[in-house]
Amino acid sequence: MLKKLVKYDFLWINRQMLVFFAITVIFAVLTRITEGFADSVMGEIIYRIMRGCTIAALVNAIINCAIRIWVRFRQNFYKDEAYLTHTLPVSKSTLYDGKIISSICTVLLSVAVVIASFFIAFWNNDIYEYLRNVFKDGDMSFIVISLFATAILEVIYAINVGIFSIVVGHRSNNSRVLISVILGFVLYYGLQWILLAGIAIAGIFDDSIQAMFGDASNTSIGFSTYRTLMLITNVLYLTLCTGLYFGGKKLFAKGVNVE
Amino acid sequence: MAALLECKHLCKSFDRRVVLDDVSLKIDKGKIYGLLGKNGAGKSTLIKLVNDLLTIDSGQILFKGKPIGVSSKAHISYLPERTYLDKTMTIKQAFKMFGEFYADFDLERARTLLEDLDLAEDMKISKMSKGMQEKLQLILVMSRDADLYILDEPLGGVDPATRDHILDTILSNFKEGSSVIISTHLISDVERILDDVIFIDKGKIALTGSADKLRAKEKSSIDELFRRMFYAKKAR
Repeated sequence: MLKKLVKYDFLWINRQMLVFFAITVIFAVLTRITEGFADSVMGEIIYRIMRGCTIAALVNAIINCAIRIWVRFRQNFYKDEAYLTHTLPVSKSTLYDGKIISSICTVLLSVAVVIASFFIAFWNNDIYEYLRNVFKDGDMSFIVISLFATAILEVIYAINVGIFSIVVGHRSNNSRVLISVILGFVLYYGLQWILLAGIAIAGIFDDSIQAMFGDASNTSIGFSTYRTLMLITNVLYLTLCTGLYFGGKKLFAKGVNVE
Repeated sequence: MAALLECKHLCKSFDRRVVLDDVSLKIDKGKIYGLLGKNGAGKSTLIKLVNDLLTIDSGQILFKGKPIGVSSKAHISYLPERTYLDKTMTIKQAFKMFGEFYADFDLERARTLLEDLDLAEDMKISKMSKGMQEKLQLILVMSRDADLYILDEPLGGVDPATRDHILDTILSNFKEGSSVIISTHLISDVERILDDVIFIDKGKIALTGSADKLRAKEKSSIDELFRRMFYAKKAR
């Protein structure tokens, strides 16, 4: 049953997302092509427009993905479609798991499109050299992969905060959307502070991390510091995501009050 | 013999407004029940509780002696008041989805009913009128071999001419030995098919009994009895 739930969710969310993904890739290719014409004034203008469109499309791919996941969650579990969802012969926990798995799959697909489009449009030697200067003597493939892993976890974290807030907000009888939105913002920023505090605490034991908090002009980070930082950040993100997942699932399994 | 469905001392409130107050009732196998009451009497709330769409404040709901859950959902076929289908689907895709989730879904019966009600499998749900969507939901619900069919206002959105057709569809398609609960305020339309009636008013069960016995005892139709009970009280 879980597989079927994930299939229907994934298809619903990505049916429209495919259009945005296609637009993102097309703009990325056009950016790369028009980069070659940037010598002339007109070529430069077209290139800049394409570059702006690509950046907007990259941001849109992530934001739209998150919004569609939240909308689907609310429609399926609390609005008219809930009359079918909650009467399927499936436990509430499985319903919730289905949503989380399909969300993660959608995020992975969106991030894959964003990464591919980014490389098509912008990746060049200057960026490579810049990263090499920032992260002294680092293994470049590790740096890039870990950056994207953190980006994926960040998006999954944001989506989990949204889902958790929708569940909590809809336990109330009134102003459900307002409560969900306010709680979402408070949780998102509140937990980010906890994450930052976690890194600051790690700085007590690691002087190179401590230095980042002390000197804002310090833009170069040693590779070992970067590795430690990534490890702490990703572990904290995973902990927050796990906590939100179990918290949301527990509340959801207690039952819903469909409008 | 254990009841098919049993509600014990059910209570449900929204904020401080009591919607169901100590409701207890039994639904036996093989009967058609009319859950009758005015708008806002608590019919839909009771049905939503049975279908796990609302949380119970206190009390218990048992289906075949066990608390409602995954197994009860596999045997209860529910038609809500709302149109609940994903509008991006076609009828064919809706059939496929029901077939995948409900082991008791009969695709052949669904196709026959579709033809009877003048719908086609390639129709997109978003392009269908509300009435057509309601017909489709009825087809999906009645194409299951369920033990209990719960129909919440099945005649609400259809014209009087179609009502008889829908009632005939219900009568000729539910599995033998199973039970049907029809919730409605259009009592005169459904009266002819009811075995038992449950009158609900202000969140309480006001009267239950066999439709025939009530008619004989009160020397009036169920519709008249209902009007006498709830509207005459007000007039006095």
